[in-house]
Amino acid sequence: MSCSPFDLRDYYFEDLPAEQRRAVEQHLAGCEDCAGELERVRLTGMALAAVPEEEIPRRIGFVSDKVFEPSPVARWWQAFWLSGARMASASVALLAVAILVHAFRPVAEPRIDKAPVVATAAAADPAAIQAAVDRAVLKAVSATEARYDVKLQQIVAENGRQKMMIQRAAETIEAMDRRERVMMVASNRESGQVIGQ
Amino acid sequence: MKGILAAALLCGVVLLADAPRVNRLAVSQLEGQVDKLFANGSSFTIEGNTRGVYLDGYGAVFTTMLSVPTKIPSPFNDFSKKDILAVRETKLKALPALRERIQQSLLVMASSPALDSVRPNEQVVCGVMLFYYSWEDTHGLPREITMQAEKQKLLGVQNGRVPKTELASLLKVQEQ
Repeated sequence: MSCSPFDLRDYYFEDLPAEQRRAVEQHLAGCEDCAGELERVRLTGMALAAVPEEEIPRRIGFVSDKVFEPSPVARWWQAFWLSGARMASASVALLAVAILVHAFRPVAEPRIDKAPVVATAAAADPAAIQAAVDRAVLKAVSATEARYDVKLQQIVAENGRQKMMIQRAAETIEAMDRRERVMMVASNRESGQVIGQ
Repeated sequence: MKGILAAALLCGVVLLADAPRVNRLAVSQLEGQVDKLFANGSSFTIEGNTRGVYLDGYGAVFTTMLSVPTKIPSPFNDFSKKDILAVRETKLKALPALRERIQQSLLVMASSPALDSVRPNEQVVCGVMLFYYSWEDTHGLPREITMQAEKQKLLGVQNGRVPKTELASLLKVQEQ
């Protein structure tokens, strides 16, 4: 509770006349409670000042208002869109139109470049044609075989490498196994000695 | 009665004649000693335990399998030619020490109580087989070293009657 002679909020908002303001100021100089109260009022005022100002809505709308009622076109579209049977009919009709258009559409003939046929002596000779074909086939087969040979050599080399690694691993495992047996024999001998003593 | 006694005596003589001259248990202990001699404080790994056998009229023969531990290749660390040659060099350098160990083992064998019943003129043999991997370059490396000498000659060296420097000349050495 404030013991100030005048309302501190009025003082803060400068609604008091000059004489009353001075009286409040004199009181504040001697009253810590009122000075604290004024500080709190000041902080609240600053906080309120930081909030952006927004215009108060002039009118509150209701769903039942006419303004929210959909137009006749919108109502028809909504009814159409939500009706499965109508949508299916429309789809069938659209498909039928597409088929008809495709069926009666004029088709462009494929363009064929007609190069002039030149009769040559070699072309006329079947033996020469056969020889040319044989050469071409031989060349193609040779190239393919060469590629396969290279591949085969690579596979053989890789296979050899893998085989060697497996062999080495087997040898290492065998050696480890042998050493384990040696340790076991040595251990047995030691135990024998201990028992013997 | 005399016949029975004579038969019993004959059986005893036959049994004594067939009894092994060398005690197997004592030989087994000597085998362990030889293993230790090769393994302890040396640069060798025992790949096969020492085995000893007494051949009547010939002597005691001990064999063992050793290797010189080196780096080995793995799928993550393949060996180059240089690495393989380095392994070979390591093994070549270990050979003199191995020969010395074999000589020491012969002296240990000859003076062992396990071979007390081996006659002085019989042989004491130590054969060492060396283990190699298939990838190794074994050029100049022996697969087997065998050293042997008469038991009495070895005992002479062991007792100090013959200087140790002459031991090598008393031995018959085979390397293959």
